[in-house]
Amino acid sequence: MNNPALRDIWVYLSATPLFGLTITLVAYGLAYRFYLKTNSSPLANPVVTSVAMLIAVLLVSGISYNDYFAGGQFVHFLLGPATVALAVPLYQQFSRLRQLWLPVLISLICGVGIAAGSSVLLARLLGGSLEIQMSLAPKSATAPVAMGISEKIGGLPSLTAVLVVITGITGAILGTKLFEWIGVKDDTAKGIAMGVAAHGIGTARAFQVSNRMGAFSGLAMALSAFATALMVPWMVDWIQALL
Amino acid sequence: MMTHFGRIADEWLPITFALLLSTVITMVATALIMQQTSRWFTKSAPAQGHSDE
Repeated sequence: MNNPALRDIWVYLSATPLFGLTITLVAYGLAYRFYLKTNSSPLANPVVTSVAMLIAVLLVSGISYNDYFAGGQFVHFLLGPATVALAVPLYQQFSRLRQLWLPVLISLICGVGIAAGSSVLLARLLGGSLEIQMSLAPKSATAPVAMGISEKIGGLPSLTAVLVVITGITGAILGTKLFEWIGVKDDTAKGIAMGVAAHGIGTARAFQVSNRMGAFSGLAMALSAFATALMVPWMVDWIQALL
Repeated sequence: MMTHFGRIADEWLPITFALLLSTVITMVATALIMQQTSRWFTKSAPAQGHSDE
């Protein structure tokens, strides 16, 4: 860093919580511009690229995660209000939701069952240990809920947190292409599938496609967290007893 | 994450495949179930996607 003005800014920011906040906002801003430049390609998902940029900056600068999070927590705090604000687009879709409450309920229960059942069975089939199977079971729920379930059923909560993030990224990248391949064109169906399988990261991607897809994805994310907490502990017991 | 590095290294195959395949299966199945049940339970619902943007 040869420019003295830039160096001064770096020294000042790195000593305050503003550093974490600034690099988070700058990384997301750059990632979003890159996403737009790629014609909104799901492969350039701004969540993925901004996380990669932040990891690179922390590794290169040697700043610890705790120091970064002193500023990053301001963005983290906004996660709560942003989640509550998902009710607004959902309210705008209320007439459609009233019409579709039964299909939504059926899809939700089936989706949560398939997400947990397929991950446990596939991991078992491929030789995964019981702890890995239990860590994978709640991977489609939002992270705090998934970690709680993982702990209760004998998984590793910190591993589950990582698997939850990777699941969300996978869903956000593959989702729209998959729906195209299987011929699903209804934004309501796409939103429900995205929210059930890929929680918040999938919901962020769904809002990039349309308001309707985002609203139903947000609804599915919230309800599937609730359904996962109810269904998965019982389901994994049942699968273990059966096999 | 680093605490479980050894376990992840040992069991990368079941972790990777179960996670990827399960996510794909869940999304495809849920979207198809939602699309089909929407057709069954609603007579006037539009089948084609359109946003309210």
